[in-house]
Amino acid sequence: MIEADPIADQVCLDAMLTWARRYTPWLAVEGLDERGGAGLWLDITGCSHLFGGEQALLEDFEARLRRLGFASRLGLADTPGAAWAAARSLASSGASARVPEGEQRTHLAALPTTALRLSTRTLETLNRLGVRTLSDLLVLPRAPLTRRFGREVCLRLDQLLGRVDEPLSPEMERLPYVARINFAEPIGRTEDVEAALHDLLDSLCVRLEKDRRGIRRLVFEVFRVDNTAERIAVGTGQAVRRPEHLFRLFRDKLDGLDAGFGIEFLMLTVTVTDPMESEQGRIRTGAESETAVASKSGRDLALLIDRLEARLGSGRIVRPQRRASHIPERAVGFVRALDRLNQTVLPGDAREVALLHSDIGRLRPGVRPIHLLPKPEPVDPLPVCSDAPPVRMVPLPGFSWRRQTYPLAAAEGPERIAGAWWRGALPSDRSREEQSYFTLCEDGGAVREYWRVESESGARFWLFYLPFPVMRKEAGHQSRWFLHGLFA
Amino acid sequence: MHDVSHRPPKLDALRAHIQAIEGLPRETEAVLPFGLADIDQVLPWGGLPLACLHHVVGADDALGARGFAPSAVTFVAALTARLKERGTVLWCLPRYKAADTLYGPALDMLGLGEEALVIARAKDETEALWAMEEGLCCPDVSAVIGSFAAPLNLTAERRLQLAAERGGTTGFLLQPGLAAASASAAVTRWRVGAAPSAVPLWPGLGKTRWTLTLDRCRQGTPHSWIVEWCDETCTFRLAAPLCDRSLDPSPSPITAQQRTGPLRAVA
Repeated sequence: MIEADPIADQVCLDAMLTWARRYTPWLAVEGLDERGGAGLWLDITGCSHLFGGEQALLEDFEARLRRLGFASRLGLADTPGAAWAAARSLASSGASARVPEGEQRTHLAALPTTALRLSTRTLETLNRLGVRTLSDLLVLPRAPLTRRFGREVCLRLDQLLGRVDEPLSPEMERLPYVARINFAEPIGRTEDVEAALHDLLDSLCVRLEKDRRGIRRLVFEVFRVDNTAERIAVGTGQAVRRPEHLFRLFRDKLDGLDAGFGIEFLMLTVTVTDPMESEQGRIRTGAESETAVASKSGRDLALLIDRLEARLGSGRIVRPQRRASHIPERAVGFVRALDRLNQTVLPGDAREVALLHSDIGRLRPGVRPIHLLPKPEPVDPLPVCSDAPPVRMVPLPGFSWRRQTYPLAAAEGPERIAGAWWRGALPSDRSREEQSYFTLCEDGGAVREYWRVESESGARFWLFYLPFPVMRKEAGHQSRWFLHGLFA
Repeated sequence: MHDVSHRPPKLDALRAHIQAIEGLPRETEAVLPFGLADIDQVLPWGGLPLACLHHVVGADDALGARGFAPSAVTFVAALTARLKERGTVLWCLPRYKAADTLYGPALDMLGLGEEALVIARAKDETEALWAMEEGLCCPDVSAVIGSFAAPLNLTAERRLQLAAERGGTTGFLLQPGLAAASASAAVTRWRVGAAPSAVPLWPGLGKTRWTLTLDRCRQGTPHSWIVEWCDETCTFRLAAPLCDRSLDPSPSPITAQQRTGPLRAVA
């Protein structure tokens, strides 16, 4: 036994309605009632020839439903009433019932009175009176019937026979969010396009407001008279419904628009929407509360990021984000500022994560440079003079980097950072240069000893030394000292 | 604050009029105090005025010539980190290699964490300027920083200054060392360079020191300080008086030899 689930039934019926739109645009759902008589109405007037006739349409319909896993009972007749009767009383699963044109009376006369859509009470009374079939009912005079049962019986009978019209009220298709403007004369000025775009955005935003949805992605298409078109797409980080904001996203891109011989029509399509509740206006009581509200909402920031992304290009607006790694150049990544940040730390290697959360991984402030060179650059250490007094424990007297010599005055270190040795070496099929850089910088790399050093002028550098020579000389790096960053 | 009681009222009115023309922050408006009496006294507003444009350049040294100004960058980052309560900080970087090497963990330690900072990478200066202007007008942004390799023209700076006034947001123009100080629409210009640190009592490095120079200041006078930066508290303080400073930078024996004489390599 399966418990009734009317909501699921309704959802299924709605889905089926959408599916059945392949046969006709004129569709309706017959709601669930106490008799469990839910179903679909299809008005196929003028549609059946597309499928090779009524019988072919019925067979196609039945076969497709069967493939979808539904057992169906289909009835086809001149009137909704007759089709209803045919589907429920004539058809059986797998065999549809088609009532030929104008032959309801002959085809359906033998059916029981249940084939009329009558209430249970009326049916019981009719049954008690010995009226079992439609033919019994058809011979009775109409006036006493109406007096006894009200208009119901005669109305249903007339609807079945087509003496009374029974229009279906179709389910409206949910239209996509598209707006379009046609011009009587081709236009070419940017101002005109902008004005038209404003109108399109306004009309779309009103519709979206009603449906409580906001725009995430929007495509603006410009069709020229010579049958060429141009597409401009913009996206937003949050659902938006402000025409003026959306307009600003387009404005810069409109500058480069080529009108050609003239623009015939414009079309604006919303391709992605998100649910969005109505916006509430801000109440401003003073300068202070205004900033407080602004910083909390963050809405304007999202709009700003949208605008920046629209102009600078996708992925150019970023936020730095920590990555679980102890290797300096891998410890930070950038994520798109639009993407919602769910995690505070980007995923990394499990061991690196463990190390980062350990006490060793916690950094003392000031031990990381403000500038980190993307690739450590080899520096030339200045030679040591044996007779000079050692200066404040510096590991090397000085170095030269980018053709400039920096004599050192002080140093602190070393901080030893091991590479991710648990990862294998780079496959040997890579080029030698690539391999040497890999050994130096990437995973599975060498141990580095980092020194913070200060030059005589006060500039501070982050140098590292490779205590174990990992590179062959021919790999290109002569030096074992590298500059990796600059401190304030 | 300057004492105005003895001045004739007409002069005051004129000054106020000029202020209004120049679009300078009025005294009632927001100010970010340095928390250092010596510096705050020199600034006519009692601190760094907000809602206007500031110019910060790096020292004119070897690093500056290579496009790096780590001290100036840290100075600006530390100042804007104090403003983050008011909103996000937007950092606009044109395609300029040295600027794009900012290291997140260090910014994090300065108080400019990942949630407080948005970085805009622009193709060129025009785009970066546009992004700065947009950011300055956004109420959710507290400060906008623009890193530029070369000085901007006066019109661009003026535009930024106007946008900052309009939006109530503080703008910072960040440049590596400049030899010639050109005219600027910014309200103040700072020059930040590294200074030799004091010898600490323990082996290693002492606290970071900068020479902080107020090059230009509307209604104020230029001034220079040596400040010490504390990594733990993210604050400045004036470096200890002269007697505590590191030795006079007379060339040490090693460097003298290295610069002039033949070198003796030691294996």
